[in-house]
Amino acid sequence: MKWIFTRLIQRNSVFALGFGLPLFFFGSTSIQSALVIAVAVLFVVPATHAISYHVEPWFGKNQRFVILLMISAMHVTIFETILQLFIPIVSFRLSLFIRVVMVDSLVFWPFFVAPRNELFRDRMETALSLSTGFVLALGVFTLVRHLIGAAGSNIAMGTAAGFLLLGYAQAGYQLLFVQKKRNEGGSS
Amino acid sequence: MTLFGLLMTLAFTQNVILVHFLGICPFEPSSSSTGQAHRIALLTMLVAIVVSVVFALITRYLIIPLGLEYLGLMVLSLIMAISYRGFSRLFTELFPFSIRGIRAIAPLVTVNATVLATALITTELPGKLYVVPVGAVAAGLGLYLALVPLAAIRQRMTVTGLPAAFRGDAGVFISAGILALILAGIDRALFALFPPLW
Repeated sequence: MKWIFTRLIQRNSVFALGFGLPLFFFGSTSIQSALVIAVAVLFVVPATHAISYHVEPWFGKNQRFVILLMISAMHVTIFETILQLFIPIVSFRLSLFIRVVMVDSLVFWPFFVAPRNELFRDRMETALSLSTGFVLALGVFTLVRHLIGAAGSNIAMGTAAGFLLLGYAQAGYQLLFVQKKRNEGGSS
Repeated sequence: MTLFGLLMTLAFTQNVILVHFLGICPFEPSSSSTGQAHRIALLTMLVAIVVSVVFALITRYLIIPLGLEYLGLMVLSLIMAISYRGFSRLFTELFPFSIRGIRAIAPLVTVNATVLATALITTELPGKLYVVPVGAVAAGLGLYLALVPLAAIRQRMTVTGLPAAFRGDAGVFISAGILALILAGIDRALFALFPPLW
């Protein structure tokens, strides 16, 4: 329970760490895109690290980042192929954002904190907590955006509404978790 | 579509950050100062041009004729990876006293959503090959037009008495939302002249 609270809420990948923002933002525009992006992230991020962790030692230290990028591209291609079985015609915009998963900070962060993630278990825990935290935040944000009618069929207006909503959500998150924690630390 | 139309569409009506929310990765580090924002936006534009042109050449003369479309993304990731190594090496040679800074911004500049999206969008554009670099310049210009004002706003916000909860990202996102609203108004006016590409 403490792990869930700390890793998924208090150190949430979107609100606390600021990762996966383009995906988070596009995903929340419709329920279908939220589902597709959530499944893409849950598939690509852990699978990339599960394979990359074992492949990276075969290459020089300087090539590891390149290998990680290639493996994430491979997983996105696999995901796109599987998705075509369920959704034969995918819009260019959705297809583009699925591809953005491969260059997202959600994929790269567990690699950049590698010295702390020397064990396979640690690295997978980082990858899983980041992707699960992202999906949790995406679900909540999509629901709120649809409930208050800020999804928007107009892309430009939808983006403006999303930016504003994200700003207020960040402020609320700061008040709830960061400032509160700081105040508690100060009083003790 | 004319080259001017393409430039206006990708810089304004299809602005990568304020309309499509792409390329937000370099947003956080670049918004600390306007100088850093200038550097990151210009470098990203440069990388986007190189990657888009190379990807368009490979797609037009190798991938499509051989029917290897399913390898497109893998090829693009390889080009981005090579550009990451190449640019890191080049800038380390050119500016040997800023190695730490180069190491910090190289992944942000070369492997980000703006570069990926620009390469994918410009390669799909109909017409001759010269539309690809023009499209990449326009997308880079769009990134520049979003990053630099936001960095200036962020700098200004550090000296104003904002409530604690609105300092940092929250304030920047709200400012970006207001900028996006302005752009949405401009888009409405430009929509008839420069329709969106996708």
